[in-house]
Amino acid sequence: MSSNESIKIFIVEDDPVYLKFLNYVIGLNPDHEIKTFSNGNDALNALHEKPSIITLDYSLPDKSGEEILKEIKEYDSNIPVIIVSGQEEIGIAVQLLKLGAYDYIIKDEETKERLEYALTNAKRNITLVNEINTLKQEISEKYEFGNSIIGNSPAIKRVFDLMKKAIKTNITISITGETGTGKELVAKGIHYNSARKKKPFIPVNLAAIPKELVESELFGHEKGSFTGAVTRRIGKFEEANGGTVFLDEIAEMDLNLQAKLLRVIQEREVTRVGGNTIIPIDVRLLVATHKNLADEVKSGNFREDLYYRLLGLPIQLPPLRERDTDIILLAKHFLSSFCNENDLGDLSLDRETQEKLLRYHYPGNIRELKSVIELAAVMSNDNLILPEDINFNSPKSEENFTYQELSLKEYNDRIIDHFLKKYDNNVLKVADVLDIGKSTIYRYLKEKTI
Amino acid sequence: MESVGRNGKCMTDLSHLVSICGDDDDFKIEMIETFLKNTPPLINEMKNYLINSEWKMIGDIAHKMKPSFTFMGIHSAKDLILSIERQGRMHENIEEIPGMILELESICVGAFAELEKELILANKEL
Repeated sequence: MSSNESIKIFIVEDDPVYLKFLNYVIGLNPDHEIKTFSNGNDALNALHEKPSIITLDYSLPDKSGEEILKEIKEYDSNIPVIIVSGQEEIGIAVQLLKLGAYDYIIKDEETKERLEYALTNAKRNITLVNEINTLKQEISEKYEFGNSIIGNSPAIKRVFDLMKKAIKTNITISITGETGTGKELVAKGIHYNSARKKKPFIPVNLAAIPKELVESELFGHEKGSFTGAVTRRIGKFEEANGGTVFLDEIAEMDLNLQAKLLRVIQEREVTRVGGNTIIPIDVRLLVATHKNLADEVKSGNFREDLYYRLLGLPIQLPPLRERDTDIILLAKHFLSSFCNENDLGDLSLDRETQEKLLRYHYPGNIRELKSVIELAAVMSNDNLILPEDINFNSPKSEENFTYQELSLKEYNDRIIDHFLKKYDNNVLKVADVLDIGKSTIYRYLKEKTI
Repeated sequence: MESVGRNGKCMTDLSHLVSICGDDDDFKIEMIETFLKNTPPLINEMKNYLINSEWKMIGDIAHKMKPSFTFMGIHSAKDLILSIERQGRMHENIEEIPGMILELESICVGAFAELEKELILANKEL
């Protein structure tokens, strides 16, 4: 709220002398637009005028301050209500504060200062709430499907279709895909386009948390429940209440904890580590892994019952190499974003550069492409990014050779050549790895020499 | 700021009101006028409730009067109003309430006279 922005304040007060006083004190700030009411019902009927702040007397002729406060909070819980009352009973003040009153000010000789202080704080609070709402809106727009996930390949269009289905219900979503394919982005896209978008999105990367801390991280802990638990802490499930929890790398979860997670999903309640209180939760679950969960079940690393609970609507993200010209769309997007963020002016991709980008197979997927493009933007000497500016530094780096459309024999030769280089021309080893006869390799070498 | 009452002491003290409005005499006049207009009907209301022994209502009115008496600095009425409020709401020593209301009315007569004078002075200064 800027200093020159008008702020509407309702004063609800039946004592004419006190009403004049409040009107005067609050009106000292020219930014305050004041409307006064001598009874509760008139004020309640005017709530559609969207007051920013309400000052409310406790004793009014038609209704008690408590009743009016409840009705205001039911209408809009965000309106700060400052009680200004002659009631000095602590019990009443505590009760009103519990019901959501922003402040409780006694009518005495210090009312003016206290009221000014409370109004300043309330306005600061409103500014913060407005900023949070703006940011939420921005995040929501950022994660609209078309804005956050770029591409029009058939593979990504299939993902869009599934995401559209995913946002209509609370079904659990299991997202799979190679590293760097954008699993978290898809999870955010689902959350911020769903009915839960105004509630928290809480991502948890299970691979990044020490195993012994995962339970406390997810479900919280009570003070003293283990060494280092110096205060009570709520877990991610409680934090996300009403919203979405995204469990990334779910396959990394310890078997014991899998049993606890299963119970949480089934019962929709959590118990903090070291606690006895059962806390009901309303959370949507999205999970992701780069592993094949069915294989993990077969090998005994993942509970079968949990697997079926989590499977829900499976979304398989395609690797970048299967997304055709999305590579160029994404490259242009990353280039443009990087140039904007770093004031580099407009840079574009040379035609040969685009071909080089399309030939590569991106073991690190989109994350790798982004890094390659940003490096190229830095290395470029002109406003055009040339093939030599593109450097693939992945440890698994090699070009996407299928893009070149060679004959089968040519592909075979390339494969043999690759492995001979890899194994230092050890023919026996290469024959073993490729499961072919040594003679095939010798024949290849002979032809190559000729 | 202060004027002298019947017993030689000031019945009113507007220093708190002036601390709020400074030299804004318009506001001061408005507050005094509103007090003078609003308070007599409240005392009459108390008396009416007295006839029907509606002690809680009397206590509620006393509660409502408290803040405006603070603005006018009628300190001699402070404890009296608090007693009427408490005893009326709690039904305690209700036999004392009629006497307290009369005493309050008597204080108000003196205080009103002072405030009327204050009004004349303030209006002259405008």
